Amino acid sequence: MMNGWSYIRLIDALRKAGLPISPQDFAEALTCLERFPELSAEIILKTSLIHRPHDRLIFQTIWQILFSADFSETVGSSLPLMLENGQSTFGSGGQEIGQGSGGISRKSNNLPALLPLPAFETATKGLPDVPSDLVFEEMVKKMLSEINYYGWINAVDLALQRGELTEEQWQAFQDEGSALQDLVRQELVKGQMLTENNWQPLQRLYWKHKPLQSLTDAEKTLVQAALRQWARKLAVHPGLRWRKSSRGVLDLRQTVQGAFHGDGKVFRLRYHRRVPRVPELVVLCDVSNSVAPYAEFLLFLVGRLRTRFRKVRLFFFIDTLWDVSGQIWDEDLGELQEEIESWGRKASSGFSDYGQVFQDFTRDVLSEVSSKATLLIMGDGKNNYRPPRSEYLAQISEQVRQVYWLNPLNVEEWSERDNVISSYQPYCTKIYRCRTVEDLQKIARRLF
Amino acid sequence: MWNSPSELIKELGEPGYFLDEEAGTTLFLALALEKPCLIEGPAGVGKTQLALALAKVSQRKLIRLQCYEGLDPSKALYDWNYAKQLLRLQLAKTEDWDEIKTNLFSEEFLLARPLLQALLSPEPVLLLIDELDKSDEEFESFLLELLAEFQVTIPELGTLAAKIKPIVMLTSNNSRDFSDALRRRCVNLNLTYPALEREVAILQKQCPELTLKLIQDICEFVARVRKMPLRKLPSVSESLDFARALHVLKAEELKLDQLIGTLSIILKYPKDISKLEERLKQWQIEAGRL
Repeated sequence: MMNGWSYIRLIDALRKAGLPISPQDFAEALTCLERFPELSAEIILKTSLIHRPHDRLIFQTIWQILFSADFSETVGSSLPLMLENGQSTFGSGGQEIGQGSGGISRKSNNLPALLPLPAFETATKGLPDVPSDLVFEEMVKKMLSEINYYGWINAVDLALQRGELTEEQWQAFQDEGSALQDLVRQELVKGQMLTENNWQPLQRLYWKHKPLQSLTDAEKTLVQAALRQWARKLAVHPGLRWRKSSRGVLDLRQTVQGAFHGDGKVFRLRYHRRVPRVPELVVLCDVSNSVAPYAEFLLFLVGRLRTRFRKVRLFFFIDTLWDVSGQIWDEDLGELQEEIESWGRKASSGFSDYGQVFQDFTRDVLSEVSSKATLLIMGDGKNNYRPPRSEYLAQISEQVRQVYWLNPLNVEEWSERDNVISSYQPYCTKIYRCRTVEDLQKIARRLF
Repeated sequence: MWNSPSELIKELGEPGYFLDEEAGTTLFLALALEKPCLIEGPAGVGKTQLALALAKVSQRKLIRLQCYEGLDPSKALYDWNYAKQLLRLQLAKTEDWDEIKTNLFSEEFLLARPLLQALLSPEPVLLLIDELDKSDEEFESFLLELLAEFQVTIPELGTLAAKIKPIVMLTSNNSRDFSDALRRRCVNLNLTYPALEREVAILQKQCPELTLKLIQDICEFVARVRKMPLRKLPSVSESLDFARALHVLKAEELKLDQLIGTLSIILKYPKDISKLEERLKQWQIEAGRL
């Protein structure tokens, strides 16, 4: 039974999860509940309190936690239903993707079975108690491997390669896999909330705080729209310096000075305009498996901003360097992902070698790069135990104006054994974490 | 106006607009609270149609403002009738300046644009602000006073409040996000692609000349296409166009091998069409195996 206390707890939880709920929203919700007692309280509250479609998932999670009979019993309760062999809750299509045909049984094509979700404690075993983004991602991976997700999804890929699955079926399985990952996250967040006894873990379900790699398709669409919006704002944000121009803003100083030369008799109007803050941009982007899911967002943003720069050059790399400038700028996130994946497959080894790449860049490209250029490197710094050859990055940093490194890993991971980012740090103007949409937004504001 | 969401859903169904229970409840609450309704969803799911259907069933006059980049208050709210003001000045050479000055900026010289028309209308109206996401952020901020108080402030005249509160509906394709301030002033209604049964019902109502078999085939086919990774998924309006096109071609049922040439009706990007053509070949092979 709901009472005033329950409503206050609901509002508090929503606010802790990052949703802005105003007192007016709350007042309106209560008015509606009083006026229409016959209507579902859940729909009334959702309508009054939730103003963005993608916030509905968080509302539903909180609702379930607060108002289901015994929340602790609901942790993990949705997964066994999903994991029952042959009883796919997906594939038949919901409202978003249309219903009708295409139901696929997981038993088909001899795919390995998914296992029931183990107890919440299994996910936390052996991991530090400190609640952090990194620990949470480890927990997700652990739980996914416990339910044999990785074996299952690899079998799906193999079945496609062997021609045992049609592309349509493969896509349906991929969608199912993404939904499964989301559910695991949701269940873990619920478990964490019970353990930590606060609402903070809910933020991990919010798209702005989620690692870019784990965004759903719907969330990617949101990010794409948000990136477009920021780019529009940043694109009209001019630099501080002025340059003479035949059109633009009237340059009063030059006009008056010019008039003096003609003894005040010849009076010619002179104009000037702002120079873009970054005249040349060079982007070096790691497209190996670990970085590729993050790279597409950066490239999409740079693509939208490219008119601000005099020149933009883009290079993909894994263990060799490929110049892809001008090939992919107009593409959407999905197309960028395909492009990045196709380049990723061209690598000889598939393992990043930053030292080799910086050497190639110094030898083949550096002479063509302006001394006013900004170099943007997107990579996790994992060099697979190869020599970092930081002298080449030192040489590059002397030639260009600024070197910024964007790293999708958490700061704690930068000092792992195979990570050489500390060797490169002295030669970078700044290293930023670029893991979530929020990070990307901060970077865009500071850099462009 | 309506006593329950089911009553509203039922009435909207009469002109052929089918809403599910949750969306119907949301719209009902927006109307009951007299708050603007912000309808979001992909292109072609029936956002504008919902406003048109609501205007019809509520017997309100529809005033529509189509948004675009660069739209400003002089095109959306009001402008001064400069020609008329000049004529007035010419006729008033002998009059007192203070009197002329006041008269020149009176309602007589005001050109009411859609937003002001909706506020000053003596009869109940439905104001549709279509594709708000296409307008600039400045225009979005400008709308805040109207959405919250149903009034606007004109510097020369002061504040003009609505004579009869209009029903305000805003639509957006989500090409950009809106500020919290705008969202808080509205009730959010998210429309998505309809479920199979609802789409069949829509097609039956809108295209009564088609056989049920063809309608079911079309809806199943479109639902299948919506599962593909495409840049733009086919919407309800495209299903309707597709159905009408097949009717023109005198099709009795949907045959996969006869669809080449008609795909551009449901898909709008060449890349998407070639993806579907490829997929059609696969579907034909699979259908042949069965």
